[in-house]
Amino acid sequence: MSGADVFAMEPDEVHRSVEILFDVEAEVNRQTTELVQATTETAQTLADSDMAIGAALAEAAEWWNADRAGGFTSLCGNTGEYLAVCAEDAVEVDDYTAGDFASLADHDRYPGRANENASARPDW
Amino acid sequence: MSDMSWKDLRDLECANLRWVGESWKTYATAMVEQTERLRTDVVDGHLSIDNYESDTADTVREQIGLIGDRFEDDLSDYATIRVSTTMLETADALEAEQLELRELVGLIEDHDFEIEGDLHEYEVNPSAALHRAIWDLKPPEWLCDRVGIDRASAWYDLASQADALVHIKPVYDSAKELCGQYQDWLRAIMSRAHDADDDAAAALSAMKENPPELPPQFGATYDDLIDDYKTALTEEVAAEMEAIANGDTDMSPEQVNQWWEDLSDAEREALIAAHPEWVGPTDGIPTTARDTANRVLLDNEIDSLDDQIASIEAQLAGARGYDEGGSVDYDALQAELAALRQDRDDLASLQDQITDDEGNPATYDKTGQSYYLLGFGTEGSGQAIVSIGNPDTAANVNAYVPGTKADLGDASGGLMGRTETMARDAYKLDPGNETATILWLGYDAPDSVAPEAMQEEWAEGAAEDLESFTQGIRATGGEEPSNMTLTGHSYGTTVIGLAASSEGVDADNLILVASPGVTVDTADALGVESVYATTNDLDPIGWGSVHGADPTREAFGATEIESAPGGVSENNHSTYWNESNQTGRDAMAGVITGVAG
Repeated sequence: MSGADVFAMEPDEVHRSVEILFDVEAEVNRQTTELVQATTETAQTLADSDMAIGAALAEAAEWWNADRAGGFTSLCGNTGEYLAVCAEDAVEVDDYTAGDFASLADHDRYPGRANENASARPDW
Repeated sequence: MSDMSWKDLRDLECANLRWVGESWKTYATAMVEQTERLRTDVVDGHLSIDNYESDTADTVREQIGLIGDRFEDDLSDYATIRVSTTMLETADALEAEQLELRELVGLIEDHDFEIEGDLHEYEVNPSAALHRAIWDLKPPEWLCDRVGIDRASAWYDLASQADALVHIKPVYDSAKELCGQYQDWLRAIMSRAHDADDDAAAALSAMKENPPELPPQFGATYDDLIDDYKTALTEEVAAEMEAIANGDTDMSPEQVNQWWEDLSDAEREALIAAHPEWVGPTDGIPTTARDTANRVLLDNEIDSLDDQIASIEAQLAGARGYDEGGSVDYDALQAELAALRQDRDDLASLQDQITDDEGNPATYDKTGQSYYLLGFGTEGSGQAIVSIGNPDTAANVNAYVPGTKADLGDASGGLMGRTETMARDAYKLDPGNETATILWLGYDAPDSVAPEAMQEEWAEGAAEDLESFTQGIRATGGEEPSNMTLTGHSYGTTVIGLAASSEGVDADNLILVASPGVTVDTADALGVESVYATTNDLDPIGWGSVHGADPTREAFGATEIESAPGGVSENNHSTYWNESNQTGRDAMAGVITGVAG
């Protein structure tokens, strides 16, 4: 088993990298969710006082959660899933789809991923 | 828009805002630990070249690096600079206003007044109980004291009641005068609180506008998308600087300063070299960087004016021989030429003022301090912001705001002369601690006493810029805040007063010289710890104020500084920095340096 154009690969080390990427993804999601929930509660009390900052803070926190922290965790997950596939079979970065993860990755090692049942067909 | 009522502000838990700010800061630190794991444990650890070697492996390592860099930039730009700093700054600003409000509300209640009206136009009026007490000829003790009459001790104290009856109008007037002062104070507090709330909301809302792209995910077209991403990355700092300079980010000067300090030396130097037009005028960027950028801009502007002048001169010269049909408007061209020559001469004079014979920054010989150019412009009467000494490192900062008829030409003439005089006075009084003295002609001053200086629109146009300027000085200063003074002369005091009461200025002292009024009737409404006022006995401005109460009146609540007039034949509205007023100058220097004058 090897990744695309591989000259050398230690599959166990790649798997360890995947685990860290998934762990970072989960940890950032967890801490961000906690922060955004607490921020939203405070934002509501400010909005109740007719302060402009109330709505703006809630929207900013939600945007951060969805777009920036969310974007980061999504990229961590995507990179981890790609590496999980590479540890099993060769695939170029340009050819990779979530379906590869569904069909090639070791799901016993990485259970519960949303892309476990992803289709190889691109989601247009 | 902020619709906070005075009760909302009074009851606001500022600690909640501060908690949010601190939480986002703590969160950002914790998140950086996660990106460090990606670098240390993945890229340099399990996924290092020893364990994974190929072109694809290089791409994956690079991708993880880009993802981590992007998130760290986001954590700095958004979680820390935007959210955390916005919340902490807003907590500080609102807490300061809340403290004042609680003091004021206590006074209003103690005096049996009440707050009425719309939240943007509050009124303070005598309560029904106070009205009744006055009509019953039993005004309260404090009101009798203000008017100078005795309070009736009992129903049979007919003499005192008769006195109260005789003085019923002065009693009412006195109560209403105090109501008016409290009303000004309340409105100023709420104006600054609404301003802080709206500014914070704008900064938070603006952060969602045009954020940088994230790295693309692995998948179809990744190779193309990652090239686009890397190209955008090289232009990102310039794009951010442009957005900041154009006001699109609504970042405070403190936030701008944090952003600037997060750049590498190379990024800062590249911005100054490539885009001095964005660096030079932006509050929150350190003085030396702004000075370097503004000197380049000044050179460029003079060269540009030379080109424009030559072009018009050529048009005029060429048209003289051939324009028999009259297609050239000579009068318009001549007028345009005269205006351009005036601007060119004014800017050249400014350049001479701040540059020595070798082309280096000039030094003011009486104090040994360099001149720093913080801004200039030719719009309207022209603008110039010039500092003698570096305000980022000085122990004391004094910004002089001139008034009516101040213009760009005078920025290197009489206005600079007064600025230098104040710098010299401060140096003489306290040579051991540097005082940076700034000419702040950062607004379009009125050109005439009547009608322009009778209007407040010039001050309204200056208020936000003066607020931002004072915040910028605080942001770029050291850990130990400087003793900061705003010294206004004539209409310049109106500019300061309106900015202080409506927007808030980050200053320790205000010195109001020859003031025609500061748009409020009490020093309390200015939101600054120490307020001083001075008008000499022969200054015609003392004949009547135009923009609110005379700040030298005792009821206004400022500390009066004595100023000696010049000769009776002199224009004593303009003698405050002459030798004839050394006493007044020393007193001002005492305030500016924090040394008793």
